[in-house]
Amino acid sequence: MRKLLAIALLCVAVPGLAAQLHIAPSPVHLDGMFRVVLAGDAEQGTIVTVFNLRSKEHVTLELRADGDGWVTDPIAAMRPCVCEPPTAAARLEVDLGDILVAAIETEGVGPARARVGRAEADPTIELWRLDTAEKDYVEAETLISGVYALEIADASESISCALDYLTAVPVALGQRGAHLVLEETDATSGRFVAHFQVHVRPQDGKLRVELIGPDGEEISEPWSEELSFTVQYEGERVELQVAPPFPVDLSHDRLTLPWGCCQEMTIAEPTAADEYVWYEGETQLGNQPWVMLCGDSVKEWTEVRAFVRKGIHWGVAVLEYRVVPQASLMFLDAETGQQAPQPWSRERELQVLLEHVYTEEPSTVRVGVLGEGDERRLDMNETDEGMWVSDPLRPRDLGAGAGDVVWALYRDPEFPSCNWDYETLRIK
Amino acid sequence: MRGLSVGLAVLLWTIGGVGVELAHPVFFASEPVELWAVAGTPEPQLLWGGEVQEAKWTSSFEDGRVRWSANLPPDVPRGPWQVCLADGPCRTFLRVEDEMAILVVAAPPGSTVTVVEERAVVGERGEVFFVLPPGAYVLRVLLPDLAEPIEQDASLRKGERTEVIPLQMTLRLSAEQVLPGYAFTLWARVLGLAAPLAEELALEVPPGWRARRDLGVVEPEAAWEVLVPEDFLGEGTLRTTVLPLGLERTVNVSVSTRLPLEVVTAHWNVNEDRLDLTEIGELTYDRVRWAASLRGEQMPHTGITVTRAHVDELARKWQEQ
Repeated sequence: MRKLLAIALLCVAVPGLAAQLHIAPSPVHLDGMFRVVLAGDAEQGTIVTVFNLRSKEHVTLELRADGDGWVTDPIAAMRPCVCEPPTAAARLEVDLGDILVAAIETEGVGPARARVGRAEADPTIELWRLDTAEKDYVEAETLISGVYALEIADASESISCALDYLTAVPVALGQRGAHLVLEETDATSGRFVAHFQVHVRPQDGKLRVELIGPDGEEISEPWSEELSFTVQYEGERVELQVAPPFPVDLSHDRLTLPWGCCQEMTIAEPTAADEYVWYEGETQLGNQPWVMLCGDSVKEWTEVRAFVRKGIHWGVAVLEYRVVPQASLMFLDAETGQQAPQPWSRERELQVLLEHVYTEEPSTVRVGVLGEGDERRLDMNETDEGMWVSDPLRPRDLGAGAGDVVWALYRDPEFPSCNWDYETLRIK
Repeated sequence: MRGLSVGLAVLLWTIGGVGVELAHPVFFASEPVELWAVAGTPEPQLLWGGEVQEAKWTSSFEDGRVRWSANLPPDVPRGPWQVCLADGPCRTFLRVEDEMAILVVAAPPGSTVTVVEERAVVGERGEVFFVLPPGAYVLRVLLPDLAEPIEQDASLRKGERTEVIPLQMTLRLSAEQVLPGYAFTLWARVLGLAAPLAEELALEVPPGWRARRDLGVVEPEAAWEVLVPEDFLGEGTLRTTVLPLGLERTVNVSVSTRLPLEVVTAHWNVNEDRLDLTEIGELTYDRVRWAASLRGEQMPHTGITVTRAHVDELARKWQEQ
């Protein structure tokens, strides 16, 4: 035995001698099987000794004829914590990187050597989501709020008898990337897992998707139809689309609000939910099933978003609103279109101009003479967006004489208590 | 010129004798809405923009009529409101902010009243109103009989209704220089008020002077014939007053034994050949010719010998009239 070991060492130290033996496969796969093969002639009963140079452990097997050559039965090259398969004729305990040497006591036949390399593997990626109702992990189909398990099966990475790790596995949420560390589920499983959390919630007026890794590392992106979660590993790629928000119906889709007036907006559907958040731009307006919009200043079309949560799912609706000036009345000279000067002749035609009224129904203005009881309702004709003009009329047709005061009044039917105007005109 | 300011005067806003009368055409926001109706009418209704508004009415019986009064909440809108009787007539009034002031100007129909840049023509009701921020204002009132407007100051306070009756009283004398023992005429004319003033005009004369009202002179003028005592020389002050309105004017008359040549000529009654100071003096052809006939002689009551230069001067002034 010592002679054989010496020859093996000599052969390792002095390359160039003819090697008639070889170990197959080479490198030997960790936790795999190998054979020692002799090409050429041998005598029946020739014994092969295989050494682990690091551990000095060895096994001996007999060569048997195999076609034109000789071969040993399979030898298992196993980590100490791995059991050999039943088909193994012998077992040699190895670690990754060990050097195995095979030798026979036949003149002119040099030893063979091989290194122990990684196990063969065909990696797979799986994504699981914790179903809190079932209290078990289920296959993730879309990305929603919850706890996830990323599992990568890669036997070639299980290399020790302690838990091994996959470090720096790249994941991405949209354009934002991060790296996860996965831990082997046991010493020899070759399956590596990392858990992470996903939070979907409104923030600064947008629905944001947050991913929080096991170390607290966080990446987030605003939701969009294209947003997805991806994992790539060794040429394999898994992509999970972020679930879209569910539709929400509001009491209004579009609202024109006169300055100084307020309008309550409510959630029409769903009728019951767990959480509500309203935003105008990045400003939060409230967290009730309703919000009061008030026209504090004139502004162009602005978006308000309503976010509604049912369970873990969020829905969103968008409303557009604008604030316009208060309704305004003026008496016009029907001939010139300019403001009617006072006092105005009872015989001359005038018109009533109504501005900043954006209704679909025709607006109505009431006119009359101060002191008198009869009033008339003028039908108004829209001449431009928000601008209405009456047909011409003469003050005398209202019963006005010299010294009288003609009045006109408009009340917004949608905002009667906050949007109205009146005007008076002296008559001569 | 003096006018009259009466704070918070109540002026009936009457409409052609129908059974409802508003106290004012304009009410302040915190002011109760007041109206008079015939006895037996049910509680009125207040409407704004065609909608009935809640109001608490109270009523009292006055002079055979019912006086209704209602307070509106302070936050209800300003502008034109209607008060209606059940199945009866409606009346419209204006409701304005308490922070404003209401100016009511009473003047004859056809007058034009201007405040700041707002101009109003007075109709048959004889008054116009202005709603203005509190402050001091100058009213310009052009009465139908005058070529120049009357200017009247008005000081308006928040939440108050101020009534102004712009008046102008002018005095005319038939002669400003008179002789002792002679009579002259004073006319007083009051413009700006349609109501009759005849009984209210009074004349004060200096002691010993006698005044007789000429009842043949009608509105808007009053006239007196005033007799100067024979022993009076100097300045006499006459004062006319309209007592209820506190309106007064004074005018001075100079009494001396000699009068200017032009004054005597302008007042000479050629037909009766005497001096008549009770008519307005005027140089006429006949009077100038009479003066010319006195050339070289003393003109009566002047102490002046008439010369050609005097006559030329009189003729020149007569032609310039």
